Amino acid sequence: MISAALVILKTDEERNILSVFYNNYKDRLLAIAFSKLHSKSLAEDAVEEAFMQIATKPEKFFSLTDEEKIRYFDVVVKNLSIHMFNKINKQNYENIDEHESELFSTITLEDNIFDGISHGEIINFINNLPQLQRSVLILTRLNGLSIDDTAQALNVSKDVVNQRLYLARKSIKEFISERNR
Amino acid sequence: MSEHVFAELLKESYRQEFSQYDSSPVFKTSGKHNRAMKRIFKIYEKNVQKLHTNSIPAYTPKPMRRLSLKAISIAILVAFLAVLAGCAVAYFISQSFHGEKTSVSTNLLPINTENCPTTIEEIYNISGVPMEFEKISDNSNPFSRTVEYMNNSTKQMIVFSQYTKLSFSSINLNTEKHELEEIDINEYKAVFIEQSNENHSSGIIMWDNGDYVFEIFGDLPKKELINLANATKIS
Repeated sequence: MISAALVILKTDEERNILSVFYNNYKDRLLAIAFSKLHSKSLAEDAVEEAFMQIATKPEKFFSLTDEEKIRYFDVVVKNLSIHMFNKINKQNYENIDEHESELFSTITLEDNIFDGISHGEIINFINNLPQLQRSVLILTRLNGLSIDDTAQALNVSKDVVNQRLYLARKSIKEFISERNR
Repeated sequence: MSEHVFAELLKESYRQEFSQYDSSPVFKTSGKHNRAMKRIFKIYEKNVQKLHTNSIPAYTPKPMRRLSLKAISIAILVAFLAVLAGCAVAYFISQSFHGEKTSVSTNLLPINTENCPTTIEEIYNISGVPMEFEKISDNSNPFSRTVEYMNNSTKQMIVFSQYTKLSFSSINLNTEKHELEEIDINEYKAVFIEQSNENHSSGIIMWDNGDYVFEIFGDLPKKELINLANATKIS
């Protein structure tokens, strides 16, 4: 009886999680989408699509911590927005200049030398990876998503996720070994 | 670099990219968007409900069954063997490469690293890149060189790399569903790993020509990748 009541309570909580999350972070997510799409109505479309992904498969959302939920939506909304922008402008997915160099000025990690290379240099290199490679790294390595779930979240095939993961790790390893010489 | 440190660096990279949105201004959403979101939350609620209905099985009391000592022993043995199988590390060896192979990935290193150049002295290129592919990057340092080509309409990629043998180590090749295969590239023994499925062709070829290690990764069928590898020449 008690366990049945707890299940109902848990369901009620879970029922509201998505709308509560949306109300807390909608400005952030719409700002991310707007920065890529430069259109209010397209930014709204991108955010709707991201939430629709979760609405149709809610089980994935429950297993994420609060931090992971934000990270998930940040990355998914950004990717959907870039994807939409490219579709509209018929541009190459990988070649968008994201003007990210300005972000490097906010490094707060200590620039300790690690194996002959500073953390700042590695972060700088990761920041400059093609955006799809970085998104795949964040979702798989930080959020612990499977290849399957990452592929679904980013709207690409599993092979593309595997390949981008491989290419990202390969270039980071090459960069570090080159700088350590 | 440890995986933990790498995760921390990745986290910092993420933070740098997204912290600018921490205090985003209020975005006045349209009525259309608000209606769409309400509809999305309804779909979500319905699916959450469905999820729980499916996950609560109807209670049907089962008769208690006593487990025999033999059944318990078998269960322990099966669990032990399953753990062993999960942790097993095999050793891969071909004529040119060797490395450790876990249940999901394989790392390869060239076997013979004697009398090979320590820096890249002769630059190689693939000469048969299909017309539709455009060179999008060419990065080199004294120890390795990587050239990327992309077909802009299909997003297929070809990545050609040349390494000094001492600087080469393959990175966790995904061998969970695909086996490493030994093939011939010109007069050298190469390793090929197919990554294709029914919708997508892709693979990686690695070979050692005595002086350098070469790697071609491409979203192409095996035969075309082999043709590309066979067409590698000194520039």
